[in-house]
Amino acid sequence: MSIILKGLSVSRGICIGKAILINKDDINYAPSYIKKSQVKSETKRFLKSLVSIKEEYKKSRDKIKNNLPMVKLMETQLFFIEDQDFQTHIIDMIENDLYTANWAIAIEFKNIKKSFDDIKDKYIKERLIDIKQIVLSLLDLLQLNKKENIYSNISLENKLIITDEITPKDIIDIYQKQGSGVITSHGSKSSHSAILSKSLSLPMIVKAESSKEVIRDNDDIIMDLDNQIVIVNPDQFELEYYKNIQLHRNSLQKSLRKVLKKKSLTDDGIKINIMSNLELSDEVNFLNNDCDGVGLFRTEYLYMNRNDLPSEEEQMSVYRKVFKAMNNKPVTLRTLDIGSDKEVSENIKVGDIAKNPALGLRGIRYSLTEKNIFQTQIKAMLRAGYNNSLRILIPMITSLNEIMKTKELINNVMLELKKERKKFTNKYDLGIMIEVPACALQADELSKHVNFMSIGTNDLVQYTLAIDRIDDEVSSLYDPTNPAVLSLIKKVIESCNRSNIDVTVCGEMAGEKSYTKLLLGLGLKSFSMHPQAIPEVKDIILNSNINKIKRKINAILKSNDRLQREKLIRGL
Amino acid sequence: MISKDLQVLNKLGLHARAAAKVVFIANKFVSDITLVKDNKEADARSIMKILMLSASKDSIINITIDGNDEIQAMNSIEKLFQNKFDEDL
Repeated sequence: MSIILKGLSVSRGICIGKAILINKDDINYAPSYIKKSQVKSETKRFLKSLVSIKEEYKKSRDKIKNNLPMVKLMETQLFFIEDQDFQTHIIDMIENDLYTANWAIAIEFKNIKKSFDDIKDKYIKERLIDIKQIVLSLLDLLQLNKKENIYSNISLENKLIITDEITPKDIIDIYQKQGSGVITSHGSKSSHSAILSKSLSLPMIVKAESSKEVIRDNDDIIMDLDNQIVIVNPDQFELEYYKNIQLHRNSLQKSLRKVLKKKSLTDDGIKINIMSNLELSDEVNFLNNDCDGVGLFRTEYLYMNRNDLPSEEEQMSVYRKVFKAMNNKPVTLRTLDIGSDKEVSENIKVGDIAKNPALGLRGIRYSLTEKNIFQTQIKAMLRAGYNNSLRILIPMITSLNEIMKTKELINNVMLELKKERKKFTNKYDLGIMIEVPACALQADELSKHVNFMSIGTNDLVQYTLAIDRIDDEVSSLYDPTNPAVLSLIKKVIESCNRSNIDVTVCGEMAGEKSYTKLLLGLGLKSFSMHPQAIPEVKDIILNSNINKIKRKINAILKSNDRLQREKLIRGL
Repeated sequence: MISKDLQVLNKLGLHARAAAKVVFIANKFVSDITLVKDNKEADARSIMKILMLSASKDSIINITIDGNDEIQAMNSIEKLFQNKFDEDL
C-alpha cells in the first residue's frame, strides 16, 4: 500500500526513483571489542590520538593568532579535548568493558548527546556541535572512520536521497554523483540549499515530516513536486499515472524551448534583458545561446568542499570558462558572499563565532576584513575579464564608504597587476547588491557611484521584514509582496533609471513566474534567474503589455492585505 | 571542605567560554571542586559536565571545594563569578 507524505516543493515536475536514506549523524555506533591483552595498547592509542588532535588545534590556533575571537574559540575547544570526565569514561570502557577506543568514543558521544538533549538554553545546546567535531576528528585519527564525504562511496544514479537536513555542499555532491532528487524532513524552500538545487534542477522537497521514519532504503518513491507530495511505494496505477504525466511534461518542455528562440520583447515591443544566475562554472554549458548574459555568478562554491583557498590562477581559469562560454556577453561575477546559512569548508569560518551570522561579518564586510582573500579574487576577476565584458558585483553593501573602500582596493590591485606585467581589463563595471534596506533607501545617492545595481530579493525581504527564512517557525511570514518590500524595489529601480544605470533583480523573485508581471509593472527591464526558469518567465514576458500592467500597479502597492494583493498580482 | 552558593550574573549564562574559564581556574588548584545545580553535579575540571548544568543567567550554583588550597580556590572561583566571567554583558 502506498503512503503519501506532504512537504514543500522547491521546484516543479515529477521525479521517480528509489530511496536511499542518509544519516547525517555519521558516527559509527557499531560495536567492536578488543582482547584483554590489548587494553594497554588500546588505551595508549586513544591517548595518543588525544595528544595529536591537541597539537593540531594548537597549530591552527597559532595560525590565526591575530584574530582574537577565533583564538579564544580555539582555546575553548582545547578544553573540550582535555576534558577529564570524557577521558576517564572512555578509558573506563576500554579497561572494564573491553570496547575498542572507537566504540567507546562513539558511546560516550551518544551519552553526552543525551544529556544535551535536556538542555533548554539554545546557546549552550549548540556547543554539542563542537564536541561532535572533536569526536569526529578523534575517530578520524583512529582511522576506522575516515573523514570521507558521505556521498562519495555510493552510487546515486536514479536514487532519491532522504535525509533530515542538507547543506549546499551536500547538494553539489549529490548533483555531481547524478542523484535524482532530495527529500528532507526539515529545512526551508528559501535556504541556499534549496536555491542551489533549484538552479541545478535537482528535484527537492523540504519539510516532508516523518519521511525518515516512513521511508526505507530502496523503497520506490514518486516526488510529485506540483502537488507537494511524496508517494512511498506507489501501486501500479499510481506509477502509470505519473509516468504518463512525465511523458506529457517532456513534450511541453519541448514546446517551451521554441520560446527561447524568440527575441525577448514584450507584447508592446519593449526589450527585456533575461540573464542567468550561475552557481557552478559547469552550469554554463547548459545555458541557451539566447540568454543575455550572466546576471549573477555566485563564487562561494569555488571555496567549498576543500581545506585550502582557491588560488588566483585557479579562480581565473574558472571565470574564464564562463566568459568563453558566454561569448562576449556581459558576465557578472559576485565577490565572495559567505556567512548566514552558506556553509563553507574549514578554510573559512565566520558563522560559528557569530551569534547572528545574518547580521554578522558577511559579504563585503568579510572581504574588507580579510583583504588578502579579497585581493586574490579581484585579481583573478580582472585578469579573466581581459578582452571580455566584466561586471563585478559586491554583496551586502550598506554604505557609500564600503563602495569607496572597494574601489580603492580594486585600483590598488590594478596597480599591482600592472607591476606584475599581467594582462587584465581596466574597463569593468562595478555594481552593488541591494539586499539591505539601508542600501535601498540610499539608492539615489549610491547610484551616482556605481555602474549597476542588482536586487537580491531573498535577503532584502529577510532584512526588511526581519524574517529568518530558514526558521521554520516564521518562514510562512516571509512575503516578497509586502508593501514595504515592493516600495523599496520600486525606489531602487526609479533611482537607477534617473542615474541611467542598469538595474537587475537576481533574487528568487526574478525566476518566479507569478511575480514576472509585477516586476515589469514596477519598471524592471532586466531579470536574472536560474536557467531552468527562463522558458516559463520568458513566455510570460512575451505576452505582457507593460502599459496595461502599469495602470494596475498602484492598487497593488496600496493594498495592505496579503490575500488581496496576491489576487491582484494574479490578475495582472 | 567548604561550600558556597554562587549566582551566575552574566547575560549568556555559563556557556562554553565561561565554562572554559572555570576549568582554567580549577586546574590551578589541587583541591577537588564540584559544581551542583538542580541535583546535577559537575567536576570543575570537565567543561562538558559544566555545560550540562545548563546554568543560564541568575541561576544559583552550589560550589563545594575540598583540599589543601580550598580557601584560595574558593576565592578565585567567587571572583570569577562576581566579575561575570570577565565578560562585559
